Amino acid sequence: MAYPRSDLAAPAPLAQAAPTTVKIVVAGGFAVGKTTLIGSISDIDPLRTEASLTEHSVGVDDAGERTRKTETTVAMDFGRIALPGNLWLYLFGTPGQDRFLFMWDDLVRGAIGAVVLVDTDRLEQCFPAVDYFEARQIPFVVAVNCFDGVAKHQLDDVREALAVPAHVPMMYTDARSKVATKQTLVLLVQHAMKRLAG
Amino acid sequence: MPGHDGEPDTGDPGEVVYESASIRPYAVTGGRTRTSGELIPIEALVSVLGKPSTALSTEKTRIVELATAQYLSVAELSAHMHLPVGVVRVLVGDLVEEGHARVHGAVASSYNPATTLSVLESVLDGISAL
Repeated sequence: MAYPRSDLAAPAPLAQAAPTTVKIVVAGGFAVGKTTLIGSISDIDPLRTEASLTEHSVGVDDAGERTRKTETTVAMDFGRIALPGNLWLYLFGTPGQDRFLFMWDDLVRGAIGAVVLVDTDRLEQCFPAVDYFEARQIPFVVAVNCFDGVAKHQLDDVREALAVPAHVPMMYTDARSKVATKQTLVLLVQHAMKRLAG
Repeated sequence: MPGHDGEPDTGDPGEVVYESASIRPYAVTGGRTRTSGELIPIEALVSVLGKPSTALSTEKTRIVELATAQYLSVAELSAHMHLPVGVVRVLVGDLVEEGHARVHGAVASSYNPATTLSVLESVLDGISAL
């Protein structure tokens, strides 16, 4: 990954009080545009971090039954936006695959909510994310990424196909556009506030 | 991966080579996957409390260097050091226990609906004004 901008941009002098940090999770299938969306609005180039998972499995080989341990690394891209009021908003792009859902618990704890980014050509990839946020009652919005600005499907059709409940906001977005990303985040924060206000 | 932030890349036997994905990352934490305290949120900011007088490990020294001039989150430290989040959490936890660093609470750690609502209002205003 080569990013032109400095990844240590905009340091906050330590003389200042520590910023309050908040986070939003961007979920969706492989290559749906999560990192593009984050990069469209982030102050820093999207950074990549890794969570290392250790999987224990019991297998049988020539020497009989034994425990095997394999290590899997899951990459996660993220960005940061400084907002007035000494607030730092982090955007974390989550690995979309089913089998890594368990690591989301740690990531989404305390998050404002989530944007589920959808590619209508590969709808099935975002089923796990929709199920996950719905089951844990985490505020989320579904954003249909329109490549080349073309909406191929009606939002109602996508809602039905994904079985997204009526109370979950949906919208078209364009992950490459700062304006579209901003609108998507605004929709999510408004939704989270409504949920909080009951 | 961005490799231009000047992290140490020693080739000495027994030293951690950050670029290598094949190393066992928890070797630098002595095999520990978490500290005794509360789990540090991935977005929690770390700051360093002065220059440590005692010698620290290569990785802890790097954290001190990175977080001296600016606040950096656990996630950013992890990215700059090319170490998994879990490893950085343990190292930061150690630095806090040893009195070298401080972790600044994210909103998550002091959950209160009224506080959260006012923070969300600020976030909404901030994003809208971008």
